[in-house]
Amino acid sequence: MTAAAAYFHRDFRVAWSYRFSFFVQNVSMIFSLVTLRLIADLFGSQQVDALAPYGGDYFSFVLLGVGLSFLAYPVLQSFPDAVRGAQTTGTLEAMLLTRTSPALIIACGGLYPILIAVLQLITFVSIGALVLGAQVELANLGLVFLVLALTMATLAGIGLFSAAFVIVFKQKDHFSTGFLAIAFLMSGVMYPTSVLPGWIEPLAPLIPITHTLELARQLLLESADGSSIAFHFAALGAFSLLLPIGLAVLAYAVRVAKRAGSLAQY
Amino acid sequence: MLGANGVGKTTLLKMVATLLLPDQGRIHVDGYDVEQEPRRARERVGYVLADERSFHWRLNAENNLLFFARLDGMDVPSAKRRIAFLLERLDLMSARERPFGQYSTGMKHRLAVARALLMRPRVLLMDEPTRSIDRGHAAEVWRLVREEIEEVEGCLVVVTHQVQEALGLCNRVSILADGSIAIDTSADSLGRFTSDLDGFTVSVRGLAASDMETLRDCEGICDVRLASHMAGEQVLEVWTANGEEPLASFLNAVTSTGATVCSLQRATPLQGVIERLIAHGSNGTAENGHYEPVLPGATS
Repeated sequence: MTAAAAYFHRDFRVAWSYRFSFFVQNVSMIFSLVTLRLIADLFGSQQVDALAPYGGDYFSFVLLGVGLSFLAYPVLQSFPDAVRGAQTTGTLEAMLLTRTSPALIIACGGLYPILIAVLQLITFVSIGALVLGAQVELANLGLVFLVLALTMATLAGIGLFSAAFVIVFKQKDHFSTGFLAIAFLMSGVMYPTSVLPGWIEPLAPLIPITHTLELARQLLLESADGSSIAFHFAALGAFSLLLPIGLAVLAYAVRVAKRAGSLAQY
Repeated sequence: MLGANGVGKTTLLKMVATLLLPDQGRIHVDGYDVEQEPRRARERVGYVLADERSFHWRLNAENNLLFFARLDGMDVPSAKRRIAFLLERLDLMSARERPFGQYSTGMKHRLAVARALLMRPRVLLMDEPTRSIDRGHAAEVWRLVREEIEEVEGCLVVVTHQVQEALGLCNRVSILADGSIAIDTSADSLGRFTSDLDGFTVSVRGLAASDMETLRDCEGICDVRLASHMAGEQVLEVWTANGEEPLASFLNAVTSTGATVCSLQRATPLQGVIERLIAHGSNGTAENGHYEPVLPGATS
């Protein structure tokens, strides 16, 4: 906890020194919301069969899809970015000299961007619901937070693999970008997976975010289906095992770099 | 620890500090194996890194040190008290609110010393800690380091290119060559053995590589070596045959090449010491795997 608190304090101080960037980021989020509302208004009151299982309102559907996809990038990218940043600024070795374990140092390095992303997601959905008319129900909020926790564990696990790649191979990996592009196409961010071509649709459950989006929509858009929820929770729970595996791989990568003498190289 | 550039001094320190793992052999810090019990070893080590960038540039000195103290598990009130004490002693208190990026090179190095001392380490590793610190502040750094080390009955390992600094601070001197300890002797015997080696360190700007031969040909000069490049200045290590006698003609020779002399300091030439010791070492005896030269006037 002390290490996590130290990182929050540090990263908040650094972010506060870039206040304008923070402001622009949040204003652009509002613009995205308004854009989604206008696109949804194009549909008007038309009934789209594919949206029926999600309550039929496209704005509510896409609000959750885009909001949760905003969460994915920071969670995936924060760990490799933290390592790369510490290598290029020269602080990695200094941090690894402390009593905190190397894997925890790198894991904590990604926490602040994740916290900010969660706060932005909550703000995004709240503004969408309270100001722009999305029909979001809060009855299953506890389960929604469990979905978020499992999703973040899964994506953090993948992010730790990325960080391990950066430590061993000294270059930015492009896995996160590729993963997000595939997720955006196949996991149902902008449209239900049922509209995917027949040969792609069976692949959608292989993307963790597919289950996140299904669960979030079923729990927040008044369309919860018990058996379906259990399946998606089980799938997401299995994916979340990537977190301990990612931590183990990261610890191994640090050891490899220490042996090779390349820990601080970039 | 003395040695030419690239012989492995920093690598050795990093292995002691658990930042690197040795290919072979074992390193124990205060009884703890750095490979088997790295956390225990790290708890006992403070390390002044040679890399002056090793802080967060947008944070001020106090917040930088607070961050590292908390990673070391120190609670905030204790950390703040300790930080205030160290910043005061290292003459950084008045600059504690200034972002690290605005610090001069010397201030950055003093802050690195403060960080290494935060947890009162029993083993303090310092990699050329005073190379960019002015004499007054360097003296205070060493005073503080001595006090801190004595208080915990710890030990200090310093990598330096300045023979006088090593002789003044330490009771043992190791000289590294080709990745291993070529000479390991007492500071007293080294001091006696090299007392007739005279020289000085000159910082210059704008000296061409081709001018080095001209400088070596000056009367009374045994050798001139480019020791380092720092902040646009070239640091020359000059080994003389007759003390300060050839100094004037040497400085004339420097200015005649079009270069500017920035600073001058009397110093025993490291290269001269290394060459003499290694040449003499062939008459020595092996002890604990290291070579202990039999030096004239040395006491056991």
